[in-house]
Amino acid sequence: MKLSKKMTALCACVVGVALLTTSAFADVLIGSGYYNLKNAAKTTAAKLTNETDNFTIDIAATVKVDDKAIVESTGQTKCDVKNQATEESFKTVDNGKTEDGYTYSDKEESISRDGNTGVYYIYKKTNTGKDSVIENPFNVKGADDVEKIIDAFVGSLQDTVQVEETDGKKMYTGNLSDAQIPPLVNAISSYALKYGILDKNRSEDMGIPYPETNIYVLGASGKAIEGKDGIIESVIGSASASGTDENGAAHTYSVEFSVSITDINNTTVAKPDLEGEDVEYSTSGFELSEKYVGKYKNDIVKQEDNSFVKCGERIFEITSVENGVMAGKYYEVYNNGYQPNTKREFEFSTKVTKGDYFNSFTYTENGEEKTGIIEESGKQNLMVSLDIEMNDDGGYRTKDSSKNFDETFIRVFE
Amino acid sequence: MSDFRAAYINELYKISKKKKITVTIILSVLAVILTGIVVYAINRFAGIRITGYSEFPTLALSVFSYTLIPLFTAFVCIDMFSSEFVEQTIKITLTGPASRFKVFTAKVLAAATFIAANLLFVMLITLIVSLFINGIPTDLFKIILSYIFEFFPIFVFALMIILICNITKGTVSAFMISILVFLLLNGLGIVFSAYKSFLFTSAFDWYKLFLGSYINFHKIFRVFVILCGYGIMLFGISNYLFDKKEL
Repeated sequence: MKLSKKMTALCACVVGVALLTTSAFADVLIGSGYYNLKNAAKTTAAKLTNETDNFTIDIAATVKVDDKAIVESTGQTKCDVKNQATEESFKTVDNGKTEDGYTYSDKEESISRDGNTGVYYIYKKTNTGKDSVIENPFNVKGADDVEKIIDAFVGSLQDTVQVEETDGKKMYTGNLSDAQIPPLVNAISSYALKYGILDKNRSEDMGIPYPETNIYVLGASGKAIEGKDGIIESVIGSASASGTDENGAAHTYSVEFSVSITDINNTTVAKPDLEGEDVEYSTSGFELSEKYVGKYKNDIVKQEDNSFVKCGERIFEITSVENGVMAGKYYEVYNNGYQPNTKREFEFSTKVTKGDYFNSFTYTENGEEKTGIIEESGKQNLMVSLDIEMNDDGGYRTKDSSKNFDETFIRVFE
Repeated sequence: MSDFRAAYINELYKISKKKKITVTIILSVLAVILTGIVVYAINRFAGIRITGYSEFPTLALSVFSYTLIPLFTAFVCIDMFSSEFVEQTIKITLTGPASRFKVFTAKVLAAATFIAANLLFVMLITLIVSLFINGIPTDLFKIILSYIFEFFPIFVFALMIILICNITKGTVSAFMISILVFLLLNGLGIVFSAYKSFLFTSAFDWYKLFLGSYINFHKIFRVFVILCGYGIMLFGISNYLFDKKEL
């Protein structure tokens, strides 16, 4: 029997499509190790931030040059998702010098200890309850796009991730070596190594050879273990690069790290006991209080030919701050020969509204109601912006964009 | 069989007489030398070895497999099909002793020969240029393997262009549609990266699967079957359309 031409074409088409779709479906279903790993990471983040009450993350990292450890760092973060509190501690050995630190943070305050002095700094949060302490990084705005970009970058390297399953646990391993690293990834990482991570000054400080030329990524490898509950229990990884110093000697720069998640629902986060310790308090943002009562001034300066000439002074005076109401005045004093047609001058007694980093107030100038801003500048000085417009996002912008008004006012101590 | 051989040699002869071949050779050499200069300059002035541990020929392949090689392939395929129909020179070929199926197969085989020759040529000049940049390549076997495997997805791409040529009427439309489809398939691969196994363009860098220390043979086999499926399907439809195409 001889097949007609139409039938032959149809057969070829059917056979082709069958081969193509079965294999492609299998490929999608099996998925690459990379996709499985990515999903595991998402599951882990979602479960840790939503389904668990608390957990502990341990991190360790080592930087080596020619197999000699230069920086070793370990850290532990305890997260209490239920009560929104975290405890972090770290220890770094940098060229023989040890540094350590500790931070406790919850919705109301954060307490950190300076490893060198042993002093505790307590920082009261003003916007309590606005931001949650622990967030799922995959839910952050823009995370989707970042994921797509990374997927495109990874490209065919997705299949270098192997998956092995034993006793309900999954082990992901990946080795990137020699020719596999995409040129763009190699270029960006080499650039980052030369100009970002290690610059010339820093490598001199650390006493390690600075890579001048021939920088390239040697390889990277990693291993992750996913537990029965779908949470990644541990990740270890390493990456190394090679570079030639100014004397023409080649060196290997490598970094190794490990992350492990332990004590799920078995971690306790406790506020440190501060009795008998050195403690310093600070508040976030700025709050106008009585200590700011006083006189503040700056110079009115004009440019004449090619030199600056002082014409007078702007004075901002706060006479009282009581129950959030600020009273005072603003006026200008001019030197002889520089008297302007109109001098800016007004008094105010107004309620101060607290923003994140600044306080706003209203005043009346030439019969018009305007808004002004007070911020701290340094310790005792103030930044005063007059005639501003509030933005919807909580920021503000000055209507007068000329540089004629100097906003920094210096405290006058009589 | 002799009429098929005659048809095949006839097609090769026609390709070799085209000005586009000279252009291909000159452009390939220029592009390789230019890439070489860029790679050398970046190492000289920024201290970064773009090629990394890998060899210059593999780096060049990763760039050219998405640019010059598909472009030249498109030119040659469109010349062999669309141009001949537009210029009616196909009549001379078809009045010969070979059947339409044999003429079609000869043309496809000639396109394959062109792709292989193009890849071989690019590989040789990149090897020569790499002597000036990184010294003698250490892993010649992997380089040759990469170029051999790159042949398959490019050949499937050629079959797709041949299909487009048999659907469209003019050369310009065939070219524009080919480029559009190429960009579209690559774009879809990025947007729906989970399903990109269905697109043959995602196999354009499949030679990287052979380069690592761990070689996933299952994956390579799946991709190979996908490419075969595409090949059979496109060949079948194109052959049918070519057979039915009126002069």
